[in-house]
Amino acid sequence: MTTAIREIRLPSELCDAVEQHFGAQFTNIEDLLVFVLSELIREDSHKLDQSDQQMIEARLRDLGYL
Amino acid sequence: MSRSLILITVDCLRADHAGFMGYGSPTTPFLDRLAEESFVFPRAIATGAPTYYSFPGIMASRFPLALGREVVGLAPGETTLATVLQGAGYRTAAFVAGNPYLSSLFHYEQGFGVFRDFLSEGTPSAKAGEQCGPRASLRTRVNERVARVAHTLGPLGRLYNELYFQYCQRLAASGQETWDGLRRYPAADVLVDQACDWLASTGAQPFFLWLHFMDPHAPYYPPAEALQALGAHIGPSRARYVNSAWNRDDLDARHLRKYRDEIVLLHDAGIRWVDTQLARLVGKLRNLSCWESSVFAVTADHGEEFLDRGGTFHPPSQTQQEMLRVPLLIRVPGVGKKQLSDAPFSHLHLGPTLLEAMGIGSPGAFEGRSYWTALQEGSGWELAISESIGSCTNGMDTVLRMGGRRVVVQERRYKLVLDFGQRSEQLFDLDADPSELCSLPLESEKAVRARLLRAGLEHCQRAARRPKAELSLRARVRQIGLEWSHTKMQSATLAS
Repeated sequence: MTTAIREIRLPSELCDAVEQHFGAQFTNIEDLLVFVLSELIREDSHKLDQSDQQMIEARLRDLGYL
Repeated sequence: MSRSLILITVDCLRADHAGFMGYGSPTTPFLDRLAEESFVFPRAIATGAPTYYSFPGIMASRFPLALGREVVGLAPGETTLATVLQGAGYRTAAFVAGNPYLSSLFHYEQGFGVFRDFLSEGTPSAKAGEQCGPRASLRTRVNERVARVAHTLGPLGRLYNELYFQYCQRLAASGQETWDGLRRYPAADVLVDQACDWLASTGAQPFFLWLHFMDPHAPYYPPAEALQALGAHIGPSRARYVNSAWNRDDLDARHLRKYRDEIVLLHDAGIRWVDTQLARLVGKLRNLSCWESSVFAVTADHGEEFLDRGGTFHPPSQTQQEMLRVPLLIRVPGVGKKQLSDAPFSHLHLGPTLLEAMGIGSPGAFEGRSYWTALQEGSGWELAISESIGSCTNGMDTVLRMGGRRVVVQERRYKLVLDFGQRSEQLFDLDADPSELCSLPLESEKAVRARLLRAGLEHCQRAARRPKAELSLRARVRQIGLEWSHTKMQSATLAS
């Protein structure tokens, strides 16, 4: 299975600075961006919050208030 | 003329350990006198505990998990009391006694022209710890191996723990210990010295000054003068021993109980020292002719446990009153004292209320509202909500942050505790059971439960709508950077 790739354009000065700053942790800037963006779109907290909400709704239904 | 603001926050100051809240020991004689001309809230409630869950409520008037539970601290660009007042032309300064969760790492420096968190200089005991080096780590490794074997042999494990503890205490005892040498945080006098110097430089400009004291925070090493004021006779060596014992996680409440009275004395002496220094600070304000044009507010981020439930310190799993109920005193010049309602008053509303008392509008970004008018009538607030991640005992740990949430909804008589991790619900009648020892049967008080559950549901729905998505994004990006720095430091430590 191949992953579709989208190309983006970034200022080269910025890329150089990032590679210098994070070069020890990431082999290239693409890996860093994939990591950061993957972290940012994670919905773990939101899913947990929704689960909390559902628990209260279920309880209110049990009590006959919903 | 615009009013200035002095905000005093004291770490781990239990409401029931303040004299003006009814404590029998003379921990706060200065504040007791000041209370005679101030608003004193019988039941102010923190928005969460510990510090990293409490302070977003105080500084940014928002719930601690409003940016998502991944986020600890403030977001870059977040609106706070300091940013509002700086934007209004105030000179601003903060002196924070070495609490990393209130440092620039977590963006608490925003809005302050001067921000001292005392983290870079270290304390004598921290520096001594750094010098332990390879010998200490060898000792730790040997101990771990021997302890593992001893703990397979039943009671021998406990005996080994006690012997090892006594051995470490003998090693640590130098016979020349001093209070200053043992203390992990700058004491209140250090902060007040620097605050006074800064005040002398403000001139006629209105200002916002924030001081965060750590004196009542463990490990408890108050100055001798404060202990003497309470009639206590504990020396630094004994304090070191008692603090070390209190910190043992292999001892249960039964075994810790013998240290409790001394620990409470040390904690109370920390409060007394803060009180003494506040008197000095107010003296300076009077000398500079600032006192009669300043709003002065004193509160705590959370309380502290001394085996009330068999536990110690201030874990986020604790939601009882000794943890969430905090002292709150607000003195406004020219406005007399008023008896206030004992309904719970949330820290969420502290910022907006203080701003209105100073004649400044509250920003729309604040989730709380001002009760300034209601304050002058003595009542008007009804309900307080607190939240935390019960398992997150270390705010720096990103895995622990994603644990189950606890939400506490309390009104004057009833308190509902929802533990989503355990999927449990407890309702307490605070009139009949003020110590929260026995929750009411699940099928009782249905109307009350429904009312508090609805408040909890609205709270969860508000967060789920993600009104602060952009702030959350900025905070999470900052968090990723912090985690990398932390990982880098750990790798460097392992390599060295």
